Amino acid sequence: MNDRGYFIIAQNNQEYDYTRMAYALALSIKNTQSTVKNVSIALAGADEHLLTKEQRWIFDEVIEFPWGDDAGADNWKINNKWKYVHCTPYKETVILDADMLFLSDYSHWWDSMSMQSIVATSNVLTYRNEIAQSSYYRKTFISNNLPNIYTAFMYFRKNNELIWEVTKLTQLIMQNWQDFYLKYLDATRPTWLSADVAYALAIKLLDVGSECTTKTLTPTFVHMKTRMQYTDNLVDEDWTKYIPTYFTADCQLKVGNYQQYYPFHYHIKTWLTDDVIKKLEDAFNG
Amino acid sequence: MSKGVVIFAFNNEQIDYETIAHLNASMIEYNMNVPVHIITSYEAAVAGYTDQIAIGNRHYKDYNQTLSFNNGLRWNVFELSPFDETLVLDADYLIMNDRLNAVWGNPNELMINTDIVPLFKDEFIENVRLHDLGIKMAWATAIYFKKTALVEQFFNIMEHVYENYMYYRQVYEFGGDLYRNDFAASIARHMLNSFTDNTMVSIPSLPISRLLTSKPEDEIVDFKCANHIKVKVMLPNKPNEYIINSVKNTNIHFLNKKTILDSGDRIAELYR
Repeated sequence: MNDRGYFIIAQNNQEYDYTRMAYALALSIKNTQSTVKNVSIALAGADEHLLTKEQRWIFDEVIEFPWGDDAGADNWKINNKWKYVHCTPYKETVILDADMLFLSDYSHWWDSMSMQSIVATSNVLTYRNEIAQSSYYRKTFISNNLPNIYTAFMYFRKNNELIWEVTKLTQLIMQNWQDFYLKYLDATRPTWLSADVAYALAIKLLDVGSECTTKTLTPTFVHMKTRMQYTDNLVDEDWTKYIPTYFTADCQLKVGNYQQYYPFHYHIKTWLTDDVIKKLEDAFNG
Repeated sequence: MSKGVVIFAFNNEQIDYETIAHLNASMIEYNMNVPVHIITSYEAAVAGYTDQIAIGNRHYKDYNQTLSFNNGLRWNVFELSPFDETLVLDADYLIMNDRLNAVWGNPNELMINTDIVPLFKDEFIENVRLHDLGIKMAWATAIYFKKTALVEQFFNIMEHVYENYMYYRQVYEFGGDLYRNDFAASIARHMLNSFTDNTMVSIPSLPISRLLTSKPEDEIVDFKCANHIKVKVMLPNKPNEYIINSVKNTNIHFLNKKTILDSGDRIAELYR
């Protein structure tokens, strides 16, 4: 078993190819990380054929996540995200959302993250490197006093009881999310299953918020949801309509003339063009 | 290490910037006790830069006229300053205290402000960014620098922006055809900050973190005594209403050049 690595659960839906996004993310990890560059992917058993030969090759391990596909026919496939700890091949894992890219070396974050058994990202950034403090997408968190966590980048150590307790309760919540939302959240509750809300609710119910969050800036990522960007001028959720980006041949990214250094959670899936992937592949192949 | 203030002063058809610069120089010497070097059209001509002074034409609210905007050449201050440590100020940034003396001997080689504060609370004077989604404004009103390689690069970038202004206008999405030192300085600062912001390596602000700024319609009513003025502040969106505000021992960027010149005799008397 490898000691440390990144782990992605990816499930395609009718609109988007998440395995392609995970492939791009894996390429960016291999291109940028100096010490911790292991990356594995978990898929539903029926989806393994969706990986192309090149895509399969970039991942250290391709794993079928256990106990079938909880998402079933749902288009919004979040339901299996409690299974990370059950199938990660690493002793220490950072789970990632597929729609992200790594842009510089974050290997040094691991030593500080390993001082806790779980570290969920607790601060995210705008593309201008400001701490995003907009409450627009976090009304449920504020109203229900949930820990303000982002599971798009979350660390855990497998050999610790805490992650198993959090996972067990998150499983219960995800499998009965409507009942849990109704019982424990007020009217601001989302009308869909959210991985952030499910994990945050589990952490709150277990009263382990301080053990699972951090007051430090890192780990962090740039979160491109539009209303987190400190501007009133972005009127719809597609930030790419307003903010130009430049992805260079050496895989440097500028967004609105700002150089990006932190993990980039682009959120709008169409941002990941074939051209970006080609540049990542070229960089990887030297 | 020599230290001093540099002011650029290029007259146009109406506005006697040289006189404004000399009035402000007397205020600087009175308050800060440092030498002031004024760069006029004559000095620019001697240095061979006459062609870089005129930027275009703009409307001056205080004169209600469109006049020549002679605000170029700022990027050459690195070469033209006679000092090792330089504080380059707009002629109309009236100095009424000694706080900027804190810059001398500072470990930072370059300091420039990104914030201004209006004379009337919450009044809008200018955007805080070049574009709503873009980079922060930096204000060329006051820049401190030492003659180092990094600073030379800063002014080289300003010149490069001047020479390729339409390109940078597109890339940074700011408005207007007329070159502005503020925009060029903002872009140079942004580039030297590695195209980012809010980091430990940012080029810092001057010891006065916000530049107090009045708008062109505001007028000096009276210089009560040295470093104490009464200002008629026109109320935002109420063309005929105003308040009288007292500004004491505070530096203030007066966009109304006419009112400075109208107060010339009194300034000369007080800061002799």
